[in-house]
Amino acid sequence: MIKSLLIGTNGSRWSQAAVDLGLSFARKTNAAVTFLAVVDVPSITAGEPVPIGAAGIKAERDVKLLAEMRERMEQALERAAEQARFLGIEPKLRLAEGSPEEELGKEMQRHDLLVIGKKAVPETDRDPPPSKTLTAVLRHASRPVVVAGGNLSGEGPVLVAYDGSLQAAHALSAFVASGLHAGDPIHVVAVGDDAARMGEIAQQAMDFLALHDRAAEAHVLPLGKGVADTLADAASRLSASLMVMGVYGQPRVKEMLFGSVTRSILARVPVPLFLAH
Amino acid sequence: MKFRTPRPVIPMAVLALLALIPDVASAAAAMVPAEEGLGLDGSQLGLLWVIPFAGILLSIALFPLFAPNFWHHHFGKVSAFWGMAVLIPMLIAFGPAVTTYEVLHVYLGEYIPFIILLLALFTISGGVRLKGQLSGSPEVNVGILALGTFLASWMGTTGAAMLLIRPLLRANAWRDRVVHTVIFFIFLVANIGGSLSPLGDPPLFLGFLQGVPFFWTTQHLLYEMTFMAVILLVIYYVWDRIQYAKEDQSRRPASEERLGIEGGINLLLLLGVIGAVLFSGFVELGSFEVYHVHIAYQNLIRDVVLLILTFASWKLTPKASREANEFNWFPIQEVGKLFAGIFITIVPAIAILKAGKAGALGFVVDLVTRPTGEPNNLAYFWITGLLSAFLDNAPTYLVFFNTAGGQANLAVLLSEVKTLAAISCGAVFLGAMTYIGNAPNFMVKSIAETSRIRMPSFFGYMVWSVGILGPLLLVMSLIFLR
Repeated sequence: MIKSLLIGTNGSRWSQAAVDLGLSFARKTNAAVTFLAVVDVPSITAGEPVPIGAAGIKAERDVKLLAEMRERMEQALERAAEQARFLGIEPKLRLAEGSPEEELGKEMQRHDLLVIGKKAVPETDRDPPPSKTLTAVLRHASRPVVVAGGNLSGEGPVLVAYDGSLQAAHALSAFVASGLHAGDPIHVVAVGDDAARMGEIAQQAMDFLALHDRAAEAHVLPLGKGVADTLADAASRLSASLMVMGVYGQPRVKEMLFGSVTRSILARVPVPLFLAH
Repeated sequence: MKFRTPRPVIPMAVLALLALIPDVASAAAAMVPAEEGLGLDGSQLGLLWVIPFAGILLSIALFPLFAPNFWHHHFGKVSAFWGMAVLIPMLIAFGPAVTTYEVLHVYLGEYIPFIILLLALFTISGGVRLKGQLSGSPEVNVGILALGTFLASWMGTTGAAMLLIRPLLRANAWRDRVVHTVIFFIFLVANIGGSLSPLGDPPLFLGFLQGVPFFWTTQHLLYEMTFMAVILLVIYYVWDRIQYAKEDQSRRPASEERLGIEGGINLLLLLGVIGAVLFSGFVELGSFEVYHVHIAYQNLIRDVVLLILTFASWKLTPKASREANEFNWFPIQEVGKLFAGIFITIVPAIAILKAGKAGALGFVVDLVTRPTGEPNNLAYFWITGLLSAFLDNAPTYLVFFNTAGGQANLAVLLSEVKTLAAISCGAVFLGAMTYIGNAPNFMVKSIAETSRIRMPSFFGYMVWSVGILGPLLLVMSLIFLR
């Protein structure tokens, strides 16, 4: 059972989803809550080409943007704290300055679980640029990470995406240990065209769940349009409120060129994701 | 956050200095005979003498990217270092007489007048402020862009951009789609609009100091500038109309606030600047010599008047207006320190270019010369322009002005028009291709970013500039400069 939750917030609507979901987990598990907001200093002060006469302009701009971001993060923490207190939870608040992935990575080690928002996609010219934090955090996560988005009730059926890999096994074990969704039905979904083999793989997960007295149902689905789309369809069909899956680390160049399954799933699956290495 | 000081700078710089020494042995022959003056004879100088010039330009381009904190605190020392990398070998090779002459020649004739003009325009235009609130409709936006394009030639691109960017952003504060407006503002107000007078853009003032008449660019770049400006304004208007239709009109302010001017005295002082520069271009009062360097009385009067106007602006402008404009002296100090190095390091490069094909930079001359020996104006335009887009456009202009024959060939350049027009258009227009092509580009980007607008990255901006300006510049160059 989790005892301490870390919730990342930056005031964006995606991080608000993390606050909502994290607090619903905390209410059910009685876990302590820490909110962390990070002033992303490196992204503001990073070197960039400047023309003659503009070095001072850049320095002044950086100071202003840092002050503005500091204020925004303080407000985000205060809003999250108010919401927690309304639910009877007294949270700890932490404002850090530095690289968000490094600060989250360090702080994560003090907790059982990190809840974080999905990657924000700018919709207007006034939205902040897309953050690389989520990808970087997932790459080096020392604890399971829940990425909030979609259904935020914190209860309902759980979909376990299982392919028999070490990462998938570790994610399932971490999920069971977390005590989240304790009484909710579980669907183990194995995706692949070799039905017999995928059935065997799904059964491994079923056996593990049975060991921990968790009732589950197995589904073997053909690959169809691809892993991400098949899982997204399954999550909708089963009205899942959480999807559990392992995260693969792969070389950055390969990920840049060909994308990653995790990234596709993050973009397509309409429910929160419980992820572990 | 700490930035690591890039250690290679000292050894690299020392190497560059030492690299000049072998050239020094043969350099004694590079002095122009006494009867012709004390200048360097570029035909005798090797390519190594150009290293400090390339070094300072590359330092300006790369240090802010890879060592921003170091650059912010030490750019003056880097500039001084590259200046010394020319002066010390010059002293050893040619002695104090030639070195003193070259330093005085470039400082009294070009650097000091150049900095005084920039100081005057910066101080005076930084004291004017437009108050009030407009609605940010496509008509208002296109009006502000057109006004800025017109003003840029008479108060400098930096001045016009400083005056209008905040009112433009205020007018569009309720809109979600604003990046295209800022980008077209950079194209038009921060660059292209500044092409019609020596006050518009620094390279054109350097041309004026070299003898190009004040109204030469007004007369000979008018078609090129109008072609670019009108088409860009039309594209902008259509684009903004489409974007405007997608905005949530309920957020539009119910009423507009009347426009007003704070620090209006500076507009009068600006007329004084135009008058002083015009005076020096039209009046001949004779000259005096400082160590063989001729100083024209009318130029001296111009510079003194500009300093008085600067002082008057500082004293007469309300502090609140300056604060609202976020005025401070750092940019002009930076310009002063960096150009102090650039103007020294460019001396051997210009001397070599003056030697034409016989000089060590003969390959540059070949690049812009047809096999028939005629200048290739399209090559002048694109090469000057592309270098201006990534390096500073003022030294780039000087390099190609001298490649084309410089002051010695001025009468031909002025009468045949197209070569000088190509160099001028290249230096001014292509400054819009990157955020570093001209100082106001980055200033406008920074002000937009602090107004919570997500501006494109360096290369993201180039997608806009290459996509929109690229084809237009190509057509313009083929019509007017071929």
